Amino acid sequence: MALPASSIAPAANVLEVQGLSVRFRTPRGPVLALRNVSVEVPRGSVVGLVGESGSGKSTLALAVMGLMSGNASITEGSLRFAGRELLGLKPHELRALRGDRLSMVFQDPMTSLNPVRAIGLQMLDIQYRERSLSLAEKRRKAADMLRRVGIPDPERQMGRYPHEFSGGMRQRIAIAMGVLERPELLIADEPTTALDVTLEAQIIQLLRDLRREFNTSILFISHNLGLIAELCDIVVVLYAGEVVEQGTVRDIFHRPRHPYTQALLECDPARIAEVHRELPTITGDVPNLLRIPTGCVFAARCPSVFDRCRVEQPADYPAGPAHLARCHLLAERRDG
Amino acid sequence: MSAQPSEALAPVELIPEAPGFLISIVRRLRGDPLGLLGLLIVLTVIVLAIIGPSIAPYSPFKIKVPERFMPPTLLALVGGGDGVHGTFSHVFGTDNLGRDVFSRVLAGTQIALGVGGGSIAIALVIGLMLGLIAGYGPRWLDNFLMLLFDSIYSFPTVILGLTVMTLLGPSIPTLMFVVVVIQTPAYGRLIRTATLATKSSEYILAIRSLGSSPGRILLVHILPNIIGPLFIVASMDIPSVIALEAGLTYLGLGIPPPAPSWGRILQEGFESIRDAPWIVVAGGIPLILTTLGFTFLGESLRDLLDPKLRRIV
Amino acid sequence: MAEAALQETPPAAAGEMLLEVENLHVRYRMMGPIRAKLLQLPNRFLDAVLDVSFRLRRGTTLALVGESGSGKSTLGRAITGLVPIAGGQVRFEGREPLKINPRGEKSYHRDVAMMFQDPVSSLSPRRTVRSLITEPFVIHGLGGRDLDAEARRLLALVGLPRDFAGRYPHQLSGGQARRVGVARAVALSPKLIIADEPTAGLDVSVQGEILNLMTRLQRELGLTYLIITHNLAVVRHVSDETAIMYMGRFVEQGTTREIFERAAHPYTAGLLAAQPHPDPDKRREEVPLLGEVPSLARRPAGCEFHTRCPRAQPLCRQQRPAVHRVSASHLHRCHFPLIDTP
Repeated sequence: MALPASSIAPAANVLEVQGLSVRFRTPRGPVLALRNVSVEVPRGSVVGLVGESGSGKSTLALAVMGLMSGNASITEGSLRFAGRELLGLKPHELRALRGDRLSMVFQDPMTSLNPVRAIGLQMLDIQYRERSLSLAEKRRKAADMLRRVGIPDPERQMGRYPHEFSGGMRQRIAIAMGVLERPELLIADEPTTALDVTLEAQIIQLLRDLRREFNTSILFISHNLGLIAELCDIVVVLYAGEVVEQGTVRDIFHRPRHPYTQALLECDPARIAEVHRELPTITGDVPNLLRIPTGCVFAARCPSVFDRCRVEQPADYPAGPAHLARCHLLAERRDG
Repeated sequence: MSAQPSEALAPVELIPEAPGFLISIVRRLRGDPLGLLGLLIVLTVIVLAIIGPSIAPYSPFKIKVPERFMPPTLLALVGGGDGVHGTFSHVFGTDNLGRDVFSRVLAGTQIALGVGGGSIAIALVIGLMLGLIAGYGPRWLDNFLMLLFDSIYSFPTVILGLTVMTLLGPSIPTLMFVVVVIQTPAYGRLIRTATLATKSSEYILAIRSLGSSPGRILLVHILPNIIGPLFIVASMDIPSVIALEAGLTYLGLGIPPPAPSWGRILQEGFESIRDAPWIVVAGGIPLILTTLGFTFLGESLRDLLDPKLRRIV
Repeated sequence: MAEAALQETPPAAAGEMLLEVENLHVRYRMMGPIRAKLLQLPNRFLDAVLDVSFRLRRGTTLALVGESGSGKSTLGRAITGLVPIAGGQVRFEGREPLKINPRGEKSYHRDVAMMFQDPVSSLSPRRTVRSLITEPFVIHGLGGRDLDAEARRLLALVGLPRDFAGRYPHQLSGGQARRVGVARAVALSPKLIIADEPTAGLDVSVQGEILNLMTRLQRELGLTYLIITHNLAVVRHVSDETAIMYMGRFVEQGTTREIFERAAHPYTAGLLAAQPHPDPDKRREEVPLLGEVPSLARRPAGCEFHTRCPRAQPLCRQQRPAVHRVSASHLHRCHFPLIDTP
């Protein structure tokens, strides 16, 4: 279920995920990692994908990039990037997009960085499509971007190898590589999880600045609610492979309507004003994706569960102008 | 919303119980035809090594010169079983002294596995002990042992074998001694590296924090976790050892006659290759099959062992 | 600027202080003496913990907070005897358990238990839960007890169902594995538990489970905790006292309230400001702290934080700050603290 469709030209959304379902083949049976997921990233905005373990947020990122593992298959839905359907594209067509108009930054910068190649060379490699630029121009472009992300003395550092940099620097380099070709969409999958909190703040600021400067849209994936609040305009909440709520950042943080979102916010110790020795939790565990329960995916742990929840999967009900929640409670309110 | 632990954890089975180690291996092998073939061959060889001599139609040593150079049954099917163009009474024919080649090959299986398997096993035990000590003990001991291992390791195998066999005189114990000396460094190094890697892992740190003695840590915690790949490597070394024996025997320095090791059969077969070409084939095929079998199985197991761990974790 | 000395503190009642650490120094050897000579490096050691002093009262919880390179994990391991001490003292219940045997006397390991950061990899992969949590008994020669009963008791204590006894670590979720770690830690009813990042890798919605469990056990078993973490939000709720570490030193320590409400050291303030708040209306405008932690091999002169400190003055580059006292419990090392130091 998508947010109310925009009436502007289709390219107003740089990314449109509609009803996407992803299934993994495992020795124990099929795992439905994503079920009927719809997300829109309007051009120039930062959309936050928040979810805990098993939510499927990384799977979604990899699906968009076409980087899922061999045993994964998209069983239904569509992925439109700048109006163009990605599913069904030939590998070379997808490759043409990646790194150029669509790029990704990972939790571990070493996922993007080749350990045996100097970073300068790697930044030149990315520019392979630019036939009009000379080598010197490409090198200068790379050095400029490195300087922009906060690598001091970039001309000299370009000859260095990834292991010669600290973790924070490596992530900056990975981001530099990700935005070098001014992509329309940057997917950042937990880019700061492995970093100290002071470095994290720097990287978040960097992403903010880059987005402003290059008007890059960002799909920001994290389990950290604080970061989502810091950076994002729109928030999508994922639970066990489904979108349970989405809306503007203020909708989600100030007016959460889905019990999972509400509980998640209550559990964040940073949000609890008074000092409490006992911390709140959500009892139970994420459902086993091999055996998805019937009805609402959150029913087993929901404090407001009632009979209908266990039998019938809720639809996406509107909770505001751009705010949707997949919960029967909103239906009750609507009917009642 | 405080936690109620017991109820919270009971209903959800996040990761269902995994089947036993051996069962899962056999199950996975099903999808790997080469590995299955390897398993089949290895099992056959082991069984033959055990029961071989008892099912042999003749004694491998019984000389019957009038019956020398009788071609194998296969040719008899074409040429008639008259003893010159094949015989039905000797499956692999007879050699230059009228001995039944098939029986000799069976006896050779026992020698091959006994000598090969036995010496590898000894090398395993010694290498394991030294490797554990090198990996876990003080740096100087590690340096010393590694120096020792590397020195032996860099010696060309065959020359070492030839030298020792010449000096000590060829015999089964000498051959096994050669194998042990050659193989121990390789296993020692493998175990030492694995021990070093495991030594700093978190669970070892945790056991140390409980106050455990180093001996217990080595035997109960490190050893079980690193020994798996060693078995695989060792099983793939068995054919090499058998081949080494064959080579040495061929050169006259292996197991002395009349022991019908495959090397001996090959050597005698080569000498009579114009009169009885089937002897070389009969001696060579088991060697090839055994090598292939152990290699297929070993590689298959090795592929299984790695992704298995990854998939589980 | 009075040089605060710990000797000036009114001595606590005997028996109340469980752990006393004084001027602790822990270092790692980077290379042998010959190579150091050849490379002309003045210092071939990496100082992971420098001049750390604190006291831990029975029944309380102290949080050690720091980022990478702060030395907090090393400090925890040094107290347990897993890492040798290069200088200073560790006194536990008045004795020095690491003096004669640097690895710690065996009885010390009964009294002090450790919980490790990665819940699954701190459990031996080929051992069942049952054998893991009863291992302490075997190690300390108490294997004669009914280990099955002990295993059942411990599982119940941490809220795990009985049939988990036969499971292997790779069959446990992160939260479950952590509970097993807790069970193993409390097996011999220790007095002190050092928990290294107890919430690392846990979803926010289940972090509370482990912390609440630890709180409950503290009440029931009279435990004392030393929690090592970088998660300040959690620290604020569960610890009585907090110490902030930077490059191996304590830069500030005090009751948790003092740290959070009246932070004196700019690094503490920077850490607090760097925690992202889950409220879009409370966004930061500026980055609280620039730069990165310097390499431990090349320590800055003077106050080691001066390379990143927004308030750095020439004095900070020249002289290392002494320990200043704000209150009976609140100490810091800063020439120009954020609050008035009497």
